[in-house]
Amino acid sequence: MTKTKTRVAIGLSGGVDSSVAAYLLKQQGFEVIGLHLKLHEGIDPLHARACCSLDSSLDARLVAHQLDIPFYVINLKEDFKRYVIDPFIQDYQSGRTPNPCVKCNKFIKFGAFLDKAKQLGCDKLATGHYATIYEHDGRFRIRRAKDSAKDQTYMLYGLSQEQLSHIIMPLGDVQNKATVRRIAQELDLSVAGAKDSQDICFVPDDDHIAFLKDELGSFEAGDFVLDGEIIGQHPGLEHFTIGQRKGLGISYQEPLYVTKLEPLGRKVHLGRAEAVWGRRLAGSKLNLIYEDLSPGDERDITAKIRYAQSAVPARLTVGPEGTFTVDFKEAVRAISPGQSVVFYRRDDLFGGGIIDQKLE
Amino acid sequence: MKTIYMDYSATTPMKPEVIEAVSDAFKHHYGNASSIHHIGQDAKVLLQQAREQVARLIGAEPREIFFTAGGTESDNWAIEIALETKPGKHIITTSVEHHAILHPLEALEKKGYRVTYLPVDEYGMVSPEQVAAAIEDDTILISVMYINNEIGSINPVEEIAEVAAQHGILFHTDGVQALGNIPIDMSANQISMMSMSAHKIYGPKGVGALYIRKGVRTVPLIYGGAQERKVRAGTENIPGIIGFAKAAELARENLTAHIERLSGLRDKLRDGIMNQIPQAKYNGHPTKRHPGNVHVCFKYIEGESLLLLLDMKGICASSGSACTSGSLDPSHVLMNIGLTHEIAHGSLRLTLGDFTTEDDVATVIEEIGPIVQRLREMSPLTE
Repeated sequence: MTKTKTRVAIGLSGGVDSSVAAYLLKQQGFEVIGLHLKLHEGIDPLHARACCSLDSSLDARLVAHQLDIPFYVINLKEDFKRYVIDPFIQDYQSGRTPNPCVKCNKFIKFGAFLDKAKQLGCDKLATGHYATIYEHDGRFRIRRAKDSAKDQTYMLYGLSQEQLSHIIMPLGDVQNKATVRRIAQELDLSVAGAKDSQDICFVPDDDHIAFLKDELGSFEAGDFVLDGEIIGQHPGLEHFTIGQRKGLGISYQEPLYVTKLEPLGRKVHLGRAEAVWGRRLAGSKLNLIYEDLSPGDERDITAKIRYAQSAVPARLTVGPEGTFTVDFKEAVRAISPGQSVVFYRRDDLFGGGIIDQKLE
Repeated sequence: MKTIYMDYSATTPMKPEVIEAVSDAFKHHYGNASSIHHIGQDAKVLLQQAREQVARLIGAEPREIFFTAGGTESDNWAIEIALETKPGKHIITTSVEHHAILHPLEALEKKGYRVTYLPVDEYGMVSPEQVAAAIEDDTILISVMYINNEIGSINPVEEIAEVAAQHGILFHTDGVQALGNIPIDMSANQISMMSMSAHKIYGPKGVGALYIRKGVRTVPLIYGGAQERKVRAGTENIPGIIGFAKAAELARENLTAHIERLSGLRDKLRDGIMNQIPQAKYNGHPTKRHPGNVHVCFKYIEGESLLLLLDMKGICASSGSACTSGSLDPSHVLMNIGLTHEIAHGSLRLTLGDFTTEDDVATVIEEIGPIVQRLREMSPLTE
């Protein structure tokens, strides 16, 4: 058998980004195979635009047909439930605010899906993420996308060197989303006008409360606590996130904010505006992309504690067994346990971990 | 890259003679068979000739053939006939039927009917004795598939039909995989109803038939006009029915040669795979079997990956039923013949047909070994 072109699998979601990424790979001379991930049942057929619905797999199939590349649907529903949906529900039940996309990238897209791509003889797996993977001093790094509005590195900090060695992200070098749309239009791709995907693909209408209620049946009510005193009843921890002010369903003489969710006793702690701000946090499950640090090591970094936010200056101190603390130069708002804190050095993704608690 | 199609149990390509007959009908015979004028009369004649052809393939009388839109409709209709014409609340079937039988019966259970799903042996078969033992006072229907669509085993439906007849119970068989693949003679058995589909015998999709033995009382599933002796409404799909008839005619003429040639290729393919690949299990009955069905489970691999890699080599196969693909759960057929999840996941169905060549079989035997080996090397399950 003669040696042929490098075979690359591209995850085709049915959206514009991955479709254009597939096109760019083909232009670069790779043998491209389109794979669509089936991750969950469309809960309601009316939510036809949810990312894993029948429609999206049909869209992906049409794009593959237009680009003249082979196309297959890969079913990873069991893995997705185990590694993403179940922990998502458990996190909310225990008063934490999860980032399911982080887990999906680590265990599904660049875990089980990458394994599948390798089985199919693909040397590389490509996705439509806006980020650039490059090699420096023998290690792989992830650079933030040129289009900072579309930068998705926040969701990618959990990846290992082994995973990165097999990943291509062709959109990192594209100027911005408008460019991607223009390419799609020029190619007359059927998905050129498709809407951007929603926040969490398995939660219809971005209504995570309705989703959780569906899954859990009901929530356990509990007390609102202010300065150690019970000042009212709440319908369940799952309704609240740290820093929330609106929709508390409680009246008080001054504005109150959620400051802490306590699973034991189902307490929602409230506080005044200043109580929502903090300068230190403790976390765990630290993953660093290209540098190995030991307990006690410190690094100046910039950090962000949620996806849609700019990174701010901070200092990272590594603790034992994947724990760490972060000290921010200036106070940040709503440090939320369960969310990821993600670190950068210049334009490179440095690493990240899960926030366990705000420290005083 | 040459395409090697080995998924004839999912569907077959139409034979050139069939395409010609269908095209001719589209071009020249556009009449509505219910119309009084000569164009309508022309369609009516063709319809009757088609009925005769299909009847001849199974040794039936033309008036026992009722055209439908395919196997699934025929299955649903057979159940409806039992429900509406027989008093009683109990139905007997097997645990390995096609979903066109299982799903309507599951829906009936919710409406208060009792359904006995007979367990099957290691080959996916049931015995007449099992059926006899399951009969209750108010059993209204026994439905047992003729040939299993996944693993190809042939049930003793003629004996089961006899048991049913002795008890005065309607007996239906899903004959979709059997038609044109084994000799069937309705004049010599006691089957009450049999479902058939054209696209499994080199005919067009969207057309099939239900055989209903004369004397069996019928009611419509689909109500409307007076077509098909008032029991199957809707303007007849004349081109489709003509295609079905041509396919049936060819099947009847070639039946013996077809079975002989396919069985030879099938056994060659089976041996080529089984002699080469260790830790593989051949499923289905060794001899009482669809002439074109090879079904194997390979330990330690996922059937899905195997299918995709075969497809990349131009080889079209399936893991089981095309109607259940997209689901990762191991097939209900494989679970019911007693396979573990672990081995059922690595299933491969290769179904051969009249366009399959010796070369095709040789190529598949050559390609499959390295693919299975590669997948096993990468599998976390390999010991």
